Amino acid sequence: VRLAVDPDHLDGVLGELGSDASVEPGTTIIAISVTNRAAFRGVVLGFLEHVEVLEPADVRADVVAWLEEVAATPA
Amino acid sequence: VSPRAVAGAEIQRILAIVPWIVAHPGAAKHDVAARFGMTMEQLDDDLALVLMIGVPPYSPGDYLDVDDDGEFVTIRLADQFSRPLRLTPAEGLALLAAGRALLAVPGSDPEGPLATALAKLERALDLPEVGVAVGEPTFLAAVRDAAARGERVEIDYWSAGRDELTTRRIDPEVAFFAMGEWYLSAYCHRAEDERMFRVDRIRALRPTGEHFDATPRDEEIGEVFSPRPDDPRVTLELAPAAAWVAEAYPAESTTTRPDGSIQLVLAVSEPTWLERLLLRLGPDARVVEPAAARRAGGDAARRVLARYTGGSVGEQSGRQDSTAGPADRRPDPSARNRA
Repeated sequence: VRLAVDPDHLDGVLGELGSDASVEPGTTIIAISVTNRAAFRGVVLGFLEHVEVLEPADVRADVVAWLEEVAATPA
Repeated sequence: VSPRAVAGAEIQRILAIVPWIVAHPGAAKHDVAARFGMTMEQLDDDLALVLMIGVPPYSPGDYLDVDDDGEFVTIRLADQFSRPLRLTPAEGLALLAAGRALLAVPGSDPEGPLATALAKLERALDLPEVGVAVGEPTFLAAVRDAAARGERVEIDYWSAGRDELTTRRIDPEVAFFAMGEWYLSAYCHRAEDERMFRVDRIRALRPTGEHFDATPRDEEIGEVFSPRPDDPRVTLELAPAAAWVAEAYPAESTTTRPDGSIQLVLAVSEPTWLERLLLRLGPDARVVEPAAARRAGGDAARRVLARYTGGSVGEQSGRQDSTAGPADRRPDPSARNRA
């Protein structure tokens, strides 16, 4: 999975994801293997709008669908 | 409705103290207290609790034996604890992970009986591809060093609860491992008060060249999170799948229904903490009250969605000001002031 991370949060996201995560040179894009999507989604959403799942498309769609469900929940 | 306590630093500390005292019979209690960064009163409380530790059928010979003459202490294990354990691989791995976490408790002996036992366990598990280690944040060594030397440092710190990056000068006092994270107790010159920092949220650290009195304090480390009386209280309705929240956070009251759903009340000191929790829980959580917090999850979701869609967040993007959270742990409000 590739993640776009706001520069100020790069160290924090790396700290949460652990040593398996790697930063693409010259960018603030992180790549990491994911086996537990629910746990991964929890970590990503913990950084609110500062982290965006770029790909693969199905993982990105999973996060978007989750957010849409929360957004549609009546107050 | 019942109050629900979270076993945290106290249990971790006791689990670390017991093997150390067992390995050092007749240890001076002052030495024990100093080694584990606790007060004598706190040590006495812990030893009183150790007296209650035993195994079924809880006959007199099944408890730990504490010999405490007020000045020196010895702990003897019940015979049950001497018998070889027969663990499944899963139990062994869980024990190994928990044991490694205990070794991170200040005062634990990295080469003591616990470490030795864990090394044996690791060999017995024969898991060459699996390493179990308690991660150390980037600046852990630096803050420990600054605390030991009494060096004031300047840090860039990300507050998850407020989602903001601040720069502040701090006097590091003690770093400790609790609830799965490394924390730093320090005097913060920006807040002019004691503060608890998560070490992994320190983004940068710079020496100031200034020093402070680093004399060890005969005071207890503050709770990782102590709600203030004026912190907003939020009532959450949780589906059974989200029951872990009641164990992970210090709920002030918890009601479990027959269907497994839970209603609990949390002190929430920072609004962003609640947003993050609600996004994580998704449809498994609902804010019951206060009414002002009911939109917190939805508003946060729309704000994050805007990043994915490139669209405007809309007029509902404002964050709630009346809610907050235990994620950004604060020290006990009664902690001393040194300004």
